[in-house]
Amino acid sequence: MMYSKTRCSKIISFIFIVLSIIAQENAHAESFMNFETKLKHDDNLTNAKFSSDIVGDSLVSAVVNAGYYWQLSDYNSLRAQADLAAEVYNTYHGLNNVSLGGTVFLKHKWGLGLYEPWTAVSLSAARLQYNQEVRDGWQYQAQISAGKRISEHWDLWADLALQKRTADKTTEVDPGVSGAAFDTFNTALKLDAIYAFDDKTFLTLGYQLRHGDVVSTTIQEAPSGTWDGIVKAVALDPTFGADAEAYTINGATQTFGVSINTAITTNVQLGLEYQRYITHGSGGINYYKSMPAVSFSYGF
Amino acid sequence: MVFNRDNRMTKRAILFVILFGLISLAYAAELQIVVKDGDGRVLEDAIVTATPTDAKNIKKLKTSKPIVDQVGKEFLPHVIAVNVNSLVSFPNNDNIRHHVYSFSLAKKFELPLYSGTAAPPVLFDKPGIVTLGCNIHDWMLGYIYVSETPYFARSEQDGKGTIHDLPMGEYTVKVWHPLMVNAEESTARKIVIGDTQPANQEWQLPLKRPFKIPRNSVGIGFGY
Repeated sequence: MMYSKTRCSKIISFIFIVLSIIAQENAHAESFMNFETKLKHDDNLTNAKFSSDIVGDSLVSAVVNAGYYWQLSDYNSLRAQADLAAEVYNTYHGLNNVSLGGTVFLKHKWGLGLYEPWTAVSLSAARLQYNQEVRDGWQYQAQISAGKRISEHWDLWADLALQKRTADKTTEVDPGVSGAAFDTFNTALKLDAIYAFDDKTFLTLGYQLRHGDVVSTTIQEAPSGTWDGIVKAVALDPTFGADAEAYTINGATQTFGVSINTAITTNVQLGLEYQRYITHGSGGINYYKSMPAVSFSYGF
Repeated sequence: MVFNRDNRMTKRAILFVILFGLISLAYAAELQIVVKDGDGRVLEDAIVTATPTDAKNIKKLKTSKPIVDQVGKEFLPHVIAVNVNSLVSFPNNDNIRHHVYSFSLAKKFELPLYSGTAAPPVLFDKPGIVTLGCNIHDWMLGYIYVSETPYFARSEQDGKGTIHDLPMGEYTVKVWHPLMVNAEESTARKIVIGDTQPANQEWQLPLKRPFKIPRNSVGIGFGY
């Protein structure tokens, strides 16, 4: 585990140093750094169907993105950034986590002018470290995006992503059943629209359909037959109690989101957001989650 | 004797006309303008033009070297006025590249990716309004008013401006602003520039609600 952490830090530091050298050599690279913190509430941390398993908690998250932007040619740009994030939970400290990773975006604009469409590809990877090590692992994403401004006020885009998460711990709990409950794979389609009221305030509407593996934790023993034939993996989930178990099943999650953001200075933005998750899993394991949040962002 | 007196009178009359004409040409007046919005607040970036009714009154004035810079990812100045057939330079004092363009009928052009002062100046050879944008930074917006008459001024932060070097005579004065609701022609007035200095004109313009694309709203977190 220590070897993994050290190796991870060294790789990411090396990448960042290389990018810095490239940026210094190229006078047209633009550096950026953004900080965002959110206060959120998750009313179904366990992603549970049965009310006896549903627990909620509040958390504070913080994200720092720092990197470089290059305008490679008239219509092509490259952005490379390091991403450092952390979450601290009020009650369920086992979920406290830190992640460190990087993202690369390559964007192409298909013409000259405000209303020309653009496409992009991006790759990201991050190391996830939790207080409760059963969730430790790596997260990867490959994504293609496309967007177009349709008026001065409206901007639309869509993303299609492949998301892979690997877990360090894969100890079997039930004989013959994989213990890699936090090894997941998903495809996600996301649609977003921004409406700008003026040059400071904008509303974002989002919809996501995510299909693949979902992880649901039970704290109490489930009714007999609940998980028969649908479980892909199961692991102990001690954050929620000694007997809590996390089950991986097939499922699809729809997320509806709305947020409003306003810039109070040229560097500072405040936001309010709400997300509603609706998951339909195999065997009728359906669950719902609401996540309101307030945010503060600073652009350096 | 009679013949000699007539000659002297004729010569004096001719001399008088010449002197009067020279004085008229040498006399240059100022027109001071004030522009306000529909609520009576002073308005910056309005362009006032004075077109002489008698085209002979259009003098060739000293040529200027107008500049539209890019600073802090904005066009600076936001609005300028230039004579038709002016060469406008577009230096870039940001430490990043810009891609300036315009689709306006008065001038379509594109300055592909550049930084510093590498871009050549652009000739604006047709009168009209030229709207500027940057293909990388969607919120950047600027205007060039290309004027047929050499007599124009831009209102400053206090809403005031001065048109200099106006020969005596009759003029049509008009005002334009990027946010004005009505057409420029609707603001036209006839004024006479005489020997009473300075002339003053004031306009109050109803404006559209201003809108600018937010810097931080660009999709998928690309925003600056």
